[in-house]
Amino acid sequence: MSESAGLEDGYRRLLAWYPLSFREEQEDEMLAVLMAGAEPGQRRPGRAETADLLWSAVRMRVLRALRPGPVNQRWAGALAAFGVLTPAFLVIVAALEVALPYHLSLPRGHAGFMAGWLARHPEVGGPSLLGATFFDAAIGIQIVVAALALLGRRRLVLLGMLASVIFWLVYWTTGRFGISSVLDALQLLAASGYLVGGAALLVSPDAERGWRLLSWRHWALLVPAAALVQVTTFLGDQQYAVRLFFLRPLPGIAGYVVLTAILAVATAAVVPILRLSWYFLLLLVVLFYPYALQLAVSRAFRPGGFGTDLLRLVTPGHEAVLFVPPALFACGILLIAVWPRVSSVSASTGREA
Amino acid sequence: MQEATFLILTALAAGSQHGYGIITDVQEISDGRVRLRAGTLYTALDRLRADELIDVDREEIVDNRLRRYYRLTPTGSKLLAAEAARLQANASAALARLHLAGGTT
Repeated sequence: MSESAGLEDGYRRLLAWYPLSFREEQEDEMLAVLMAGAEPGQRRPGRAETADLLWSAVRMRVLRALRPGPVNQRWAGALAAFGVLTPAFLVIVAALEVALPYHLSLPRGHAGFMAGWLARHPEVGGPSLLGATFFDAAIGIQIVVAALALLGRRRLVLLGMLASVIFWLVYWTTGRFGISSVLDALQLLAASGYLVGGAALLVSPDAERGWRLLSWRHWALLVPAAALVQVTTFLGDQQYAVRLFFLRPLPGIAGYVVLTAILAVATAAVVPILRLSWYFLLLLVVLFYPYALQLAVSRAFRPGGFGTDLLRLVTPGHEAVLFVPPALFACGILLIAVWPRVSSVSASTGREA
Repeated sequence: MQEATFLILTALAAGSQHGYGIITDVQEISDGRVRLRAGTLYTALDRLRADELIDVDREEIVDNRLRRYYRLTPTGSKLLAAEAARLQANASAALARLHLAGGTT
């Protein structure tokens, strides 16, 4: 086989990822452009070229699936709003972690590389977290990634999300092998949340459109929902004696349950009061999934079982429970967007419109 | 409008071009700063055709390979003109203010 024939076969294999209707019309033309741009003696597609072709194939499928049409318009609007609301929700949750002036007492018996830091901070929480390098980095990553998402910088966000997930997996692994016995539940949860955010961003047709579709009513819904996440996290952190500044002395478990219920009702009530679509509440339920999961298995509801906290003593099984549902959700959205049959139906709908 | 889209439309402003011609022209227009890859170009062309900003002009067979030429539609020309005017107005405003502030331009 000659060099050019091998290169052409390589390009054809990559072009197979493009929609069938596109290939039927333009595969030979695009192949001619790729061959014209190849270096003399090149035997196979370069890495950057391969990445560009694969990314463009996904993007073309998504864009074709979301083209104007009665059905597509609705989906495109919902996904555009999803693409803005999800990163915004993650940012508000991260910001509330610092903004709420709660305190976290030093847990007993902890050792490892964070022990020195903890010893210097017998009580941490709220604004004092800003003095801790580790939290600076953690919250900084979240805010930067979410800000890029809100600006519609898809590739940078995907890289940031990937880095974030890897960071937390490394952190968890070091914890498993005794380098640190302190695992940060909320940050690991945020990593799984990013998978949902990433899916939203990938299929979002246009960040600007998402911004236009949202009004102050939607943001009014996000604030109690984010506060609910934070209070739920306090519930899961009972063994660390978390105290909200306005609830001194430390309330019992019932106090936190009441506060959680009030916030949950407030969040649900905002939907009919402000005449919002129930889609947004459903969206928040999806985002709330990892936090609700932690609450369900936390010590708050199993007072005797110290080792049952999902994220303080993480096992591979726990990780699967945490990451698999959001990952499946992400894959589901992608499949819907890129499935050829759906694309062809969408294309014909678009022509009729 | 994204820069790549603007440059593709600009490459077609003077007349029809085929895919590889657009890539080399965009590189020349941007003074070598923007180098479109084939995947990016054809995703953009697909979107621009769907938005009726460009259309196929003609097809040729060169060295046994298909070559398809694209041209701007009247809608595409209008959009490009409007975007160019907007960018020019912004650039003029920026240069005028820099001049007023005594900056070097």
